[in-house]
Amino acid sequence: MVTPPLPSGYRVSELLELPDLDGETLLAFFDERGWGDGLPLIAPTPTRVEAMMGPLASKPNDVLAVLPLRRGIVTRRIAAANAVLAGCPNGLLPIFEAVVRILGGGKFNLSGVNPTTHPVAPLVIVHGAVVAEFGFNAGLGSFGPGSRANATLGRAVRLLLIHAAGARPGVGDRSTQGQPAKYTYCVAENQSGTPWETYPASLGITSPSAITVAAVENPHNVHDMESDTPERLLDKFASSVASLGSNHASAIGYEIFIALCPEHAATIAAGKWGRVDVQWYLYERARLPAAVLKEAFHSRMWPRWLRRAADGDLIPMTDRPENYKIFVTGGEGKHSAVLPSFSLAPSSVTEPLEVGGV
Amino acid sequence: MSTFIVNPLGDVSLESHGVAPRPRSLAGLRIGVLDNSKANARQILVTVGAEIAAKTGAIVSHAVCKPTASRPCPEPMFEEMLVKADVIVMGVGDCGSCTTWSVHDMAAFEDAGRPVSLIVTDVFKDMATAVAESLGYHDAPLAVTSHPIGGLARDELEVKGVAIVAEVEAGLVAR
Repeated sequence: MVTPPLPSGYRVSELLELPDLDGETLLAFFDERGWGDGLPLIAPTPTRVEAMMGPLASKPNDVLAVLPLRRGIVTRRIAAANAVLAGCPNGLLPIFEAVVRILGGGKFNLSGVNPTTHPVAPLVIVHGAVVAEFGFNAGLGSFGPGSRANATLGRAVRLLLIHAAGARPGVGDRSTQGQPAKYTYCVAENQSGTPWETYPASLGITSPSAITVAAVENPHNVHDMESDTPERLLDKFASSVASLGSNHASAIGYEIFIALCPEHAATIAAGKWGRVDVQWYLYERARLPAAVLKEAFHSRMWPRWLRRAADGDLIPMTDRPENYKIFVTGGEGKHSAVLPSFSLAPSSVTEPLEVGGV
Repeated sequence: MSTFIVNPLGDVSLESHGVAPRPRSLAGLRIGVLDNSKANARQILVTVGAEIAAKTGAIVSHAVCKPTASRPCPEPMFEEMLVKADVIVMGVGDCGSCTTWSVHDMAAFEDAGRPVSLIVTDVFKDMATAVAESLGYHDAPLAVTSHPIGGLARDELEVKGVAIVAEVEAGLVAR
């Protein structure tokens, strides 16, 4: 193998030498090292990485984050290399960088999320003007395949966690059964289908675009074709939340994400209910008798007020209404989802996003 | 001719710390017990604490339980432990996030000058070691018991607790 000259601006340790750029060569190279996610990758050549960095290519060594458990230093170039591997279109990097900064910031519990046995994956929720500008799917099938922006941004997150954070399955990622959402997990808020203020606006964030990263499980389906009142509809969500198998039943105080489809949101809004009404209703209705919880769990993780509850008392599945995180996504049809989170609140971070032409 | 791609792993942020100075013996010292709230951790820790106290002449002066295993020890609980204990026994790391945050807690107590012995299960020993090394602790005092801890009967837990007493004690004193 004849080694070509080193590209300018790189140290030797920043580059890997391959015999060729054939897709199978690249996949085998990564597979042998326990890198990648098992699926085909785009070779992060210096040319492609430079193009991914675009106007920011003059600052490739800016540090975006240090990610546990490996304590990998994520520079702009490292983020861009993983974005190329994931198949991100050029231009998406500033959004990915915003996600990386949240992952490595002090508010997000990545030291818990990466190594846990729980099936949690960081969900990226894209809000606002960048949804249309970059072609994110907020409509039909928004959690599913078919949108390059959703698919590759979510995949770039996972590849970066595997590579820089060391979250390789069985090593830095000890999830007992893993999770399909660990391949890619990115969705967009359906703003036109939201009968209320947007999700970031409900948190006081009024920038044109924003990003949420939430440590949650996969979406759990909530099916309702019949209801014409908020109460009847939301009782089904409450039933889905009040499950003994969810971590949030074992230690009361988790965030619980509710991904409403637009038709369910419209049914709720038609009853003149706002987001806060939904939060309070679920807080009141998603409950289990104290005796049931005491039988199922060790009580040492409970707050003192709960330990003193009488057997017949109905215990809420989280300790405050605002822990229900309500946003709208998806298209036609009447299927919504509950997304239980990983640990005691807060499990999510929402930040303004200053990118693109908006 | 071969070709180059950009290494997607990046450099590692290295730190280096030493553990706190160890006493020659535990006689007369105060043992603090930090239960990470995992199922059956308390039973293991109670056994270990009582056995070490009886064997060495130390006393178990303070025992507390974290509100969740998947987050750091809360600041007030941490500060109170510093006041009330000379050495600390903690555990049990029997899953990913609880092991990771227990190691972080261990590092914080060691930095504050308190020797720690952390109980983990054999399945999670490598992870505990890797996390400790990533934080700059290359000789983390781990006491290893067999996996699992959850779902066991009280007598099985007592057996496991008694079996690691020497290892826990060894992690707290000068070698």
